[in-house]
Amino acid sequence: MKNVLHWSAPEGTGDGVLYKVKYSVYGVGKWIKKSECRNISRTWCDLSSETSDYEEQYYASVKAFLHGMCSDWIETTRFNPLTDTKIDPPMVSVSSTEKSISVILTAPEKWKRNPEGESISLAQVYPGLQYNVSVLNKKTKKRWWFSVSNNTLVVPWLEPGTAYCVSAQIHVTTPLLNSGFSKEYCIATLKDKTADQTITILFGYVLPVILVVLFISVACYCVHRYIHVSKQKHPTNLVWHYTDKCKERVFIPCEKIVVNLITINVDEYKPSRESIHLSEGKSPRYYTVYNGTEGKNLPPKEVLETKQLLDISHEVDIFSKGDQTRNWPSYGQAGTKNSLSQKNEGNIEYELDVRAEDFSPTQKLMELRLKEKSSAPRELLGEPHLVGGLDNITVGQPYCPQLEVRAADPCLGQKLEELNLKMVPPADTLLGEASINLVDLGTEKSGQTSCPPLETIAQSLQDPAAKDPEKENEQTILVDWDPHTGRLYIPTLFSVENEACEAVFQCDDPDKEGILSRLYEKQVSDEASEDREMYLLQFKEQWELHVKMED
Amino acid sequence: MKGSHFFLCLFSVMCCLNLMLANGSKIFLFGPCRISMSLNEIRSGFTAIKANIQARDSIRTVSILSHPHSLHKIKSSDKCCIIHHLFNFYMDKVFKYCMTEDSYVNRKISSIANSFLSIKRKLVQCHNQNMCKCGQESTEKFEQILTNYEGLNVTSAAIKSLGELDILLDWMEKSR
Repeated sequence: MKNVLHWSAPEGTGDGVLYKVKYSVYGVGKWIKKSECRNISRTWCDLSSETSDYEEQYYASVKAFLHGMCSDWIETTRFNPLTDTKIDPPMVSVSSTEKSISVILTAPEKWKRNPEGESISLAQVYPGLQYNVSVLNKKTKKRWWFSVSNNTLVVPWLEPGTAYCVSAQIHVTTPLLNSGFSKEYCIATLKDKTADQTITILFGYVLPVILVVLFISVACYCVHRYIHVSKQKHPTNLVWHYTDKCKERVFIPCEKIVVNLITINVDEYKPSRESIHLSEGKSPRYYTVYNGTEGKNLPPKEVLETKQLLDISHEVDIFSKGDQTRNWPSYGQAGTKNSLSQKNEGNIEYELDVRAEDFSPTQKLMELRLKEKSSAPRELLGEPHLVGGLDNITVGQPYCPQLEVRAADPCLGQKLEELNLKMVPPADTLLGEASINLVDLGTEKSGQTSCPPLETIAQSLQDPAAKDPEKENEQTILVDWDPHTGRLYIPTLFSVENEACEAVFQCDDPDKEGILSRLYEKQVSDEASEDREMYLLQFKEQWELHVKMED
Repeated sequence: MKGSHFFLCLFSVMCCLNLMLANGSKIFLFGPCRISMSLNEIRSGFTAIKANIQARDSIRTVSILSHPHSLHKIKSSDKCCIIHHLFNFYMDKVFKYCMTEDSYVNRKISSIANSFLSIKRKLVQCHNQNMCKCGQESTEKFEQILTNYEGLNVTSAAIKSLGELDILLDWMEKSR
């Protein structure tokens, strides 16, 4: 405790004023002159050593001298070193870690008479000495206050890498004393490596992994949803409605199919290719017609047989594809030719607007229909029967409307579609015409007995044996036909059946099934055997077909 | 930010603690006697009138409490006894006679007297439990004080004693 007596110079006096100082201890009452402060011109006197016992109280007194004159002794008030001492701020030293700073506070020492003397801290003088510490966060400008009794303070949970400034004061509760604040000591907490590592790990590893997992899971979820959850729809054209419309179980596609067609101009003598195409569709019907005409001349029993055959033939038709349909044009043409040539039928126009709903396009239905049709001709057959002796013209007529009816008949739609899709190569048409010619010839020559075996062709393929015992020896005949060259090669044709048959035609009784498979037609040519050569020649001439005969 | 919240909390707690401590309740050990009390009120009251009272005491040569034997020299085992005697002394022989023309000073003296009274009751408890055994030293010391006191007239002795109150308080502070 450095106790210095200060006084102020008397007013109105210049330099040359001298002072002397004395002091006394309270209770003793004995004034002691301070020798060091005798006749001094300064206005202060250090009485620290004299007042070093802080358990005593003191008085001091000053007297001024000027030019031999002196003032009175001026006494101070009672001086209590404990309560009247000004305390210096504490010494502050700080150190820091990542998240904390530690502050070490040192109270000033009691004044020592000589430097070697024992140092006494103020904390011993003032038992209730405390430190008020303020910690300022430089970043956020927040200030915290701490009041500590011991001389170390650890401030925990600080932000890493942030500067903090620490200032402290000494606070004594009784007597109430406060020192000034020490100057600020600033220190920055260490940068937190673990935080950096955490951030690195988090953004470098964890986050990507999470994202990837998320992505995969989302993808899996989408796939799962696509597979299991979402309702799968069939394409509309694969959805079939069940209906009993056509007296049988029928499945009808939902999608509407619009087939717009068909204008057919069938010229009398020049059946165009379109008519052929058209007639393709009707070819099965023409079969029936033909068979009808046959049946009319045959005994009823045989008519029944033909009916059966017809049925078979229709079935065959249904099964037949590709190649067989290719043949149909020829039949059709033959049929139309027959009817047209004799009847001079003009134009047949078919305008079909067929809707899928109305279709009963299944094959089964087809069969049914065909059977119905086949039965229809049977009925129709009656008429021709009555008429009697009617040639193909009369037969042809009644069938014409029927053809139209059929064409309009939705059940045939599928067939029509097929037919539309197919182009008949020129060779076919040629073939067809050739066959037509032959048919003409055949009908002329064989008359009523002539077999219009065009239809029967197909039967033979399917179950020839069942129908006709006579055909035990029949074989499957392979026909090699090259559309490019137009060659038709029928190796076993003659060996199997009547020689009379030409390459294209083979004669048979109408009720007999033709051996002929899909590609060619049977033709009754028993009687025409002698004309065979001629036909062939004609055939060659007209169609430039090369027919090789092998015996 | 959690840290800052925590420190706000800590700071407020410390403020509360500080206030509580400032208002009172420090534990003083006078030998075996353990008393929880506050000297702040007395200290602040006395600081307000200290200069006034000490100025009234013109007698430098006599000290009631500190001379010839300082209070600080008393052994801690005797403290309980001496403080008990001192409080009785102040209640009986000092405050009663410290009437001044300054009502402010009088009020302060009155409030200090009240604080003394409350502390005295606690000291009486210790004394009734026979914790405060008065040794010879303490007895002699107190007799010395009475001698000093009685050497002066009642008023000046009372004012002197009141002016030495900070000596008493400083001594008591060391007993914590």
